[in-house]
Amino acid sequence: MVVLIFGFIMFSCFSNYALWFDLLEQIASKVQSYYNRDFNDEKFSNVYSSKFSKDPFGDAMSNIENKSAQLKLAWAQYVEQVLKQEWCDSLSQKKIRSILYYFVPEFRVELARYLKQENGDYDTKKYDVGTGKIEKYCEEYYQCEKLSEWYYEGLRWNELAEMVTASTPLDPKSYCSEKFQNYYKNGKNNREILQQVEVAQIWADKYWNGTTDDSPYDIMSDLWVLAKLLYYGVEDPITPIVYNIPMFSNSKKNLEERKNTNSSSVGISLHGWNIDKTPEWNLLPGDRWYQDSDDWWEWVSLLWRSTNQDQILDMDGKSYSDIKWLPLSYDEDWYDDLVDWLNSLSLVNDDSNFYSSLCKEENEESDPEVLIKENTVIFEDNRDFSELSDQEYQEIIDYMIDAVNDYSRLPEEKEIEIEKNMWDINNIFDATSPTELEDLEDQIKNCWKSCEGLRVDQKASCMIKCACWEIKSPIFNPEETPWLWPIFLIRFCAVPAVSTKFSVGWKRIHSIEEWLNEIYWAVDKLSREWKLWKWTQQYEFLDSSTKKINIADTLAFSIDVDFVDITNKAATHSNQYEDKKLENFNEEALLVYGVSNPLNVPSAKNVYRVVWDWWDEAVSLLQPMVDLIEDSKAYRYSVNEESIGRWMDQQWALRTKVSEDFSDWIKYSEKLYTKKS
Amino acid sequence: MKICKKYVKSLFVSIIICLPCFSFASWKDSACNITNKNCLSVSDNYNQPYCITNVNRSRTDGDVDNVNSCVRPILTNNLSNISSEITTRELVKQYCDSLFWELSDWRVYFAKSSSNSEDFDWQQTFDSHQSLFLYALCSSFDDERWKKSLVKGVYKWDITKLLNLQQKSKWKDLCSLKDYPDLDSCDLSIYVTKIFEWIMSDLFKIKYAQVLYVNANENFDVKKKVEEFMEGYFKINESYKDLKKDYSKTISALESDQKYYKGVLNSLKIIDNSKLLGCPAGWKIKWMNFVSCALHSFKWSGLSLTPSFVTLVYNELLHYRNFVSYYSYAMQNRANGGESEARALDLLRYSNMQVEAFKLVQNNFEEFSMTYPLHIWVLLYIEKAEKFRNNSLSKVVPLFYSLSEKLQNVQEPTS
Repeated sequence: MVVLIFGFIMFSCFSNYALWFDLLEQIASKVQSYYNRDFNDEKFSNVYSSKFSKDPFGDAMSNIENKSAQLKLAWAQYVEQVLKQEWCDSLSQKKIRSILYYFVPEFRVELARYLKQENGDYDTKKYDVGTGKIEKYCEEYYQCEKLSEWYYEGLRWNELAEMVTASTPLDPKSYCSEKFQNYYKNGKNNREILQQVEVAQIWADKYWNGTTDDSPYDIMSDLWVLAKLLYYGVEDPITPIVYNIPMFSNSKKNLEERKNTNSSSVGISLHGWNIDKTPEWNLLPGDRWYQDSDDWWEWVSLLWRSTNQDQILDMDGKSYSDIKWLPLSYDEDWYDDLVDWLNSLSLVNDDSNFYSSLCKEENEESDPEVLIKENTVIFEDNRDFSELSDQEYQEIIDYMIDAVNDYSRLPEEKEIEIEKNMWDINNIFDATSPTELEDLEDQIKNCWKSCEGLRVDQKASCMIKCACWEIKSPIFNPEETPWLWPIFLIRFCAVPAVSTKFSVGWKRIHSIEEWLNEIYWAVDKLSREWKLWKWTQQYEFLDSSTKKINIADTLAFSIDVDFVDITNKAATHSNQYEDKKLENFNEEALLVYGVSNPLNVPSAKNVYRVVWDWWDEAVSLLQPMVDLIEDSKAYRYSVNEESIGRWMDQQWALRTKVSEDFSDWIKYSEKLYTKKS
Repeated sequence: MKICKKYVKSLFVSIIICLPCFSFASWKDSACNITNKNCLSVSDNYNQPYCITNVNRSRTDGDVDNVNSCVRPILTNNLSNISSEITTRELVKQYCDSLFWELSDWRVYFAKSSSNSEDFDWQQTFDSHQSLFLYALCSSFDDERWKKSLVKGVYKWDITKLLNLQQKSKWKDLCSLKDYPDLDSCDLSIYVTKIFEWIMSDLFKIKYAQVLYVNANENFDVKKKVEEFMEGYFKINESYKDLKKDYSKTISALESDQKYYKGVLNSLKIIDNSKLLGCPAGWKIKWMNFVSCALHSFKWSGLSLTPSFVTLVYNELLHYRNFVSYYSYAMQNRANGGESEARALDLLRYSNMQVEAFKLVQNNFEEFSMTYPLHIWVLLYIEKAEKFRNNSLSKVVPLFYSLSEKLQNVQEPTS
């Protein structure tokens, strides 16, 4: 207590005691909230109760059975899918399943077991398995298959129909049985592989996934309760990242078709045959996304996730240009931010905030509209690409080529080596030598050349397609095991990205405190990103593994000092904005010093006022923003003054966003500044 | 000393005999040829190889995929003369007989570590007489040899009645699907899987109970169990009263867990836990008591599945898989090929699923035995922290209140 009072006295000598008082108030409120907080949380009350599985093995068994039951009849759907491709639309689902039921005994058994488990009994009447009917169905099947087969050979419809009826075999049933048993085998293989993948993931994190839904207790939930008890304001535990299952696709043909026809299913289409989670480059912005925005967001998020480079998106607004890609483990907030940002780009007719924010400062030199026009010549209107003039085409193309040349780089050699070693150990993958990489680079360049002559939007997507290439494992045989291709292929993409650099905008600071605060923010950011640490080998037991570093080697600040004579009212009269500043200053002076006339303050040097020159800041950010727009291939959207303005508003908001730990301090400062008399 | 020498000698010989088990490289490429080697060695996913030997006859070696293909020819030698109209009962009887005449001395050995053959624990062996599954399958044939088996005592009720295929029993539904009347009088594919599931689920229930210090064959004293638990995991040597005083919530939670699992133990499906006597001293030599010993060999320091329990479970798995492959082979050779072949494949598929489930539970048990004590430990900590908050911290708070109020600016209204 004595120390406390002494400290208080000492402190009050060097600082104004209003600050100190507010600090105390804050501590008191914090302790109060700590003491009074409510622990009637469900997680907290349930932590002492647990109820174990009565039959672990039985549970595991039923779990696996459920997993496989979902896939049980999937291969019947697979057969239907294949038949549709072969123009057998006339064959109904019922007919197909009847043929299966008749010719594939395994299907019958499987169906029996499945339905018996589900319903206790099953109804075979659903399936017309009379001999006569089966023959009819088989004839139909034969005819439609032959039709599709011969159509490709160039025969006409009339000839076709005659030929098919003439060639119908006397025993279509035997033809049927062969075909359908083959279908069954293919489908079964697929299903079993899927099942293995799913089974391997059951209960993998039962006791530590943060929920007690699947297990009687959960160590992460326990820790959550403990953390909430000890440290107020702890967030929920982060759900562990689950490895996305690889793609399994049965038919190559099917995949190619999907690529060519801009298939509408981007996500998973269950039933096992076309789980395709990766974004395809040739699905770059088309009409579909423009119409159906949900898909577009999904695609963008998938794209960003799949191309992530372990870069962490820094949203405290300090260095937007550090952003490359969204990290793999994004949580909902990140996603919302992303969507907001993209929304802000896509909105065209919303001028709610843009001009109002511009009106804060009227300065001829930094006229925002002029600046935007200078920087975004090609984005200034909402025209379609087909309406652009030749010169504008050329500008876009040049810009894109530059962007791709600058930002898309092959993976660094070191990374390749690591990758190579990893694969070598497993004897799966061949080494990728540097010369091969050079070859790849040449290939990409040649590929780009082949894109010339296309329409501008096609050309853009063609070029980006060229930037991706695949390396195949030598042991992979696509003809034998086409469904294994995602395992044995690695796809590299030279992704256009914003170069990493430290954003150095400048900020007008009117107080020493703010100045120190800025330094604090910079150092704190580096510290939180582990950039202030160097690790060394330990030579002695008691050695520290962290190396001492000189901060001056890492950081440098340049601070220009200007003096503003704020007591001279005439000097600030010319500028409305400065007038406003003075008004604010008066209020704050009233607040801080309790005096009505700031001009009577003996010295103005300790007057606190943050003037953030927003526009200068924004201009420095303009170029990376343009790059980002380019990267996200958002050229289908109109990027004009409004959207850029909104984007800057977003930036403004991001910059003032601070981490939760310091939100109270911000509230404190807000209180200081916003309290009106 | 003489006995000891003999023992060591036999150990040495058997190590040499079984050395091929550990040469992983030879497993991969060796097809299933019946050679003069003496091991049929099997590896599993947990780096715990085991070796099946036949003392009298020479066998082959192969990897895990070759077990069925190796065992099946041996078994199906007998089947070659069998007509396609053999009944299921006769099929099973043939198999059970072949266990004694063909595979009489098949034994399962487990190694403690996969790399070093000297760690081989030769004592953990047992033969087909000790298999719970085989007993359930074969003991209905009134063979005297089964009556000597100690497994008999483990069962809760007379399991021989279960598979009395000639009588109409309540299990008849398991033996015939009415939609396949012409397949056979009885189809074992569902029955056999059920038996195996019951055995497995009972064995794992007993193992799970051991993490909670709930034993099968003792009088249940909650206080004692709680003390044992706290001492076993956390080295807290306090009486029940003191524990209850300090950590009332946690201890009551632990109690309820233990009581709950005691109830689970009393509702086992086919194994009677009261008949599972504790493992007598020197049990390693008396391997006839293997089931009891394997179930009671839980070591608190290890906190994981002990080799003997894994041996027990793998033994059941081996015999079950052998029978399944035998039975499905026989079914595929029957008259109405398509039907029974489909059922045979289905049976094989289902047994594969059971193996997956077994691996799942085994993994899960390892996780459970680690995290549950940790969970209790965190609960203890939470309770202490809660007490600190309620008792101590409340004394600190008023200080800040009063200080804050004293220093408050009177000109400023409080918010």
